[in-house]
Amino acid sequence: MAARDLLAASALALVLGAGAASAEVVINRGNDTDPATLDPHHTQTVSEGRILKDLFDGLVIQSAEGEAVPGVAESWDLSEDGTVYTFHLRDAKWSNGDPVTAHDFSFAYHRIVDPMTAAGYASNLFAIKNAEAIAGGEMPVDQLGVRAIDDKTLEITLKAPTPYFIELLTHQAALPVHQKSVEEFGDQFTRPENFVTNGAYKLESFTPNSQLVMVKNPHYYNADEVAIDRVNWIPFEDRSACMRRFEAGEVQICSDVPAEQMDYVQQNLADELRIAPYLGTYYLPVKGAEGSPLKDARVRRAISMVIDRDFIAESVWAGTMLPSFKLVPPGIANYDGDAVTVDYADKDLFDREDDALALLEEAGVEPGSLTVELRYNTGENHKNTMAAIADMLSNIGINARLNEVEGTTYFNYLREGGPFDMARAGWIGDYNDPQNFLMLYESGVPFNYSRWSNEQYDADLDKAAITQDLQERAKILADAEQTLLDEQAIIPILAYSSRALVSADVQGYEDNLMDAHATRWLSLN
Amino acid sequence: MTDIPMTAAMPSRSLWQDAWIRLKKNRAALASLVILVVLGLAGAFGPMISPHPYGAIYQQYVRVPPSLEAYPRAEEIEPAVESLIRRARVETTQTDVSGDTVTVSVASDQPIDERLVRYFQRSDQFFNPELVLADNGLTGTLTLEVERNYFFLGTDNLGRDMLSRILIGVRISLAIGILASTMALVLGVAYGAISGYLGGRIDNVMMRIVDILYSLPFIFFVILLLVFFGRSLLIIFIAIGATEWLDMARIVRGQTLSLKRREFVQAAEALGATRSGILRRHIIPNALGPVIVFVTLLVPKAILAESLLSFLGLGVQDPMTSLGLLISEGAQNMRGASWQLIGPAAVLTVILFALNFLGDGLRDSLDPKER
Amino acid sequence: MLGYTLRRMASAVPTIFIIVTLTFFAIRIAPGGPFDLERPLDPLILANLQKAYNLDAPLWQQYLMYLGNLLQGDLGPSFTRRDFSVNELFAQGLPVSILLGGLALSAATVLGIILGAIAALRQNSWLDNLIVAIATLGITTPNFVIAPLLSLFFGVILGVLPAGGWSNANPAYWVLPVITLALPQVAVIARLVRGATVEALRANHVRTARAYGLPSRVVVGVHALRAAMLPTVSYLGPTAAALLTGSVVVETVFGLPGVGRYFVQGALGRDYTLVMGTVVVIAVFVVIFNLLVDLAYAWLDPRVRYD
Repeated sequence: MAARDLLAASALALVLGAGAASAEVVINRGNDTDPATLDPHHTQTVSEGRILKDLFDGLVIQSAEGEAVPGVAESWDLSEDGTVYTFHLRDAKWSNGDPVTAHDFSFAYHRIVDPMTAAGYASNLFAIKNAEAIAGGEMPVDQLGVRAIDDKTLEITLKAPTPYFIELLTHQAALPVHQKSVEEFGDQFTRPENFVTNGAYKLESFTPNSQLVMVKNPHYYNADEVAIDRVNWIPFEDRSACMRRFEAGEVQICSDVPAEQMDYVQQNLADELRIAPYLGTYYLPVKGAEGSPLKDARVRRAISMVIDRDFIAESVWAGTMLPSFKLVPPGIANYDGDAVTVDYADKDLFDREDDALALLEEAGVEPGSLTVELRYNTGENHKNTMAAIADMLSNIGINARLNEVEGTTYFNYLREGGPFDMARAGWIGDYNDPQNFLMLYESGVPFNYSRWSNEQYDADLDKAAITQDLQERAKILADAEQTLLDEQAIIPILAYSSRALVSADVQGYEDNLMDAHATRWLSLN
Repeated sequence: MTDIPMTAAMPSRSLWQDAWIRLKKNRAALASLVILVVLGLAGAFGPMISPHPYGAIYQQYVRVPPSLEAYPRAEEIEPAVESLIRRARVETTQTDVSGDTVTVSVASDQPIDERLVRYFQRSDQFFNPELVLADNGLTGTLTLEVERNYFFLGTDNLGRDMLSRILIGVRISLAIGILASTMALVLGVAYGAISGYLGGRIDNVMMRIVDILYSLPFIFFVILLLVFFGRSLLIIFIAIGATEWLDMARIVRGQTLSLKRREFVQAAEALGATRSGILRRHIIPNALGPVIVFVTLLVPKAILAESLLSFLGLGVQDPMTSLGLLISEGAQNMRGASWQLIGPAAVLTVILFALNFLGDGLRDSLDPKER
Repeated sequence: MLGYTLRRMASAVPTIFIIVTLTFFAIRIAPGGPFDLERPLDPLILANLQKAYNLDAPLWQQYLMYLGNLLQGDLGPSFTRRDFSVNELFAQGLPVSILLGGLALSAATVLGIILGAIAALRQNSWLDNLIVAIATLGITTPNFVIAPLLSLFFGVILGVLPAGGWSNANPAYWVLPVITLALPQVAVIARLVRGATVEALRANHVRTARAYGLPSRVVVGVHALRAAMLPTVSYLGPTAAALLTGSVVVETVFGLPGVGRYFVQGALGRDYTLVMGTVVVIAVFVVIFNLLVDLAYAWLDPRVRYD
């Protein structure tokens, strides 16, 4: 007995952090996966964003409610024509005590667009003047529209007015880096011993597949208000593993909950379960070979009509997703989603099936004559989703064959423009603006898996890009989405929800559309 | 004991005939054989005679627990009827359920569309709807038959019958286990015996080849095969078989190394037997004991290797399934829907137990020293 | 024997060379690259990235470069864990995997031999049947079922052991992973030992020894078990190599920082250098343990000679 208790006690001590005597406040947070790197300019994923936004403060940060609020920049001015931002910086320090200056931001933004850096998310800053040309190697780096006027003033010149620019700055690609340590240590600058950060936390250690430990940054400008002293970020490739450790009290926040176990969670962890609308869409790109009936918008529309989104959302995803007919998710800023209409959305499924059959007949597709391949990548609930869709398509005489493909091959195939009938794709918004979704289907962008091209759509997006009046712009963007959905180049089926387990001890965790929950806003009871 | 002179007097009776006679006396082995044959037949023909096709989705019956009672349950019939009537935008004035027949009185402000019945035609819960309308078309009586569905082992996350899925899973898993093991057995025994018997430089080279293949990661190997040839059952057989024969080759070689110094082999050599003859008559039969034991480990290993592939998302293609895939899906929700794990896991355990007892029985009956 | 060992070591060099070459080209022909994530990259940026990692050079040049670095013991930078070199990843992960694998292997061998021998000596008794039944159950149940069940039972329901996670210093974190790893191996070893011991007990020299009136404990210990060790040792060689280089399932379910996951993460993420590193490390382990098996064979069975 004694040995067992001792074992349990030591395990507990370890979970709570070795120095149980000091009243250090420690939180264990589950993350979807390890960061591929801690260099903000090389990161691409949501899970990296979570960690980096604890380590760094950008000009603008996300509040507990996920809204863009002043970060290192105390305030900013925008020129009349909407193209020049002037940011006024507060007194802030790096974790080594150096002051955070406008030069650090200028250095960072020059670094990310530099072709030598080869930053994956450089394109996120293409709104800045000359950024695209510089990343393409057509212009020297010093031509970038970013300039430090003095230590406390940063001027950013944009290519054109960009209403979502401030939102854009909340993304991890817009975080600063400490110039001196980057120059001194090169690609070693993210090592715990070298890493200088300006956020609420600094890095203590990083053990791959185990945990990433960060401790409070004493030099942080708001250090007094940071309630948690130590954060252990734990990667969970297996979401059930996070849930078990959550139930065992070893983890306080799980960033995801397995949909398969939702019945159990809703019964047993109802108070800890957080499901909230999330800025993301789950959709099916449709392509079809040359001459295939899938090239006919009526056929694509018929297919979209018979997909029972309620069943997929409620049963396959156990209520963790919302049925959707549109690409731009509900709740997004700078948009009027209601202006976009999908006329069959409110009809009963059986009526939709009749209409779909009529459409197919009109398009000359005999029942049973069309076979489509549903291609999807391994993971989550994609298999069940596609199996359900295959079953629904059989109701209007379309045969569907499933083809599951391993992830890397799958995405490479789509990016390279490989032929397919229908596939699956998901998109989580980088920033809160419809442009971030609608740009997916512009002609010639790599995200456009269907290689769909529509002049009206492209023209609308171009026009929106230079429209300053937000209402006018929202209308143009809605027109574009209407074109996309009328043509049914893609079949949106679900809007994402964020789903998390949050211990009752955690205070300050506010559900929000961006699923942004920086540790600085949290405290433990 | 009376067998001995008989066997000696009838050299024409082969090793295998002897083995069969001995095996028949081993009740556990025989019972296992019967179980395996029954399961094999169930896997081969079960999916054809099962009332639920293994890919059929019953949207109303997602994740229902196993039950000997039919669905829909008595208390579910009325709400189901009413919800379908509502979808047709008609009102229900009265619903009577008697046994398998439901009588519904319907009413509406506008003339009722006769197409109301198709809501019931397309439902999985009812069939044979008949609508009799009053002259003004605003009221009517609808009679329905309740479609009884049995899910003895429950349903999965899409409302597919677990029993049918387990049956198809048995088929696929047995096929993978047997084909992959056969491949491993033939390749491994031949390779190991030749390598061990010939010895010297040839043995060295042959074993280095095994080392090389052994060091190639299995998963990596399978991913490459799947990437190049697409996802198919054949590729999974080949991938597993090609990995499992290596162990077999090692074990047979080890046995051979020790056998070839034994008196009877040396005697055969002295009598001028050919190398291949010695291999076939002496080395391989004498090495068969451990080999058979190992095969009984190999079939489960192959079945489990397939399940590891399923766990990593590289298994067979839906709507086809295997026991390993069913178990790995069931394991994800073991607390919410335990039947999704218990059903396939129990069947797999029975299969592997039966293989095990059969293997032991075979070993005892094949043992040449028992002759 | 020393000469034999050295010769075997030398012959391992071409083995590893062939493995490296095969894997290098195989993973390169596989579709997709390390930068194919769900969010497709701008073609421009992809080109920059490939240049930065030298992926735009001709394949044979990259191959020679890799070989050159490998000779100096440098496995290169990881593509999907860009803050680490592959050497560092193994330096961190290998001790964890070796610790867990070593504990599991020792436990499995000792338990397996004891159980197998008991079963063989009490052949067809209830004890034998029980051991065989448990052993079969151990082989039957996939570890991705056992691992979550153990974690659930001891971690969540009883709360006596951590449900997951890792600590180098606290053995409480080691218990469940070691049990999961050892369970199927105990089963296999017990069955192999039982089978071989039953066989050996019937062999002439053991019968002779018994007939001479040697105490049966000596007979079993010296003769029967020694012979029974042959298939066990054959089995243990590759098993040890596999166990010590980590298990993807156990590491994923318990969240352990071993090297078993690099195998799968590397291959699925097309982390070329990580895959190569894993293959090299596994190859070295396989070569070493095969050598040990052959040496053990000679020691156990004097009829086997070093050829």
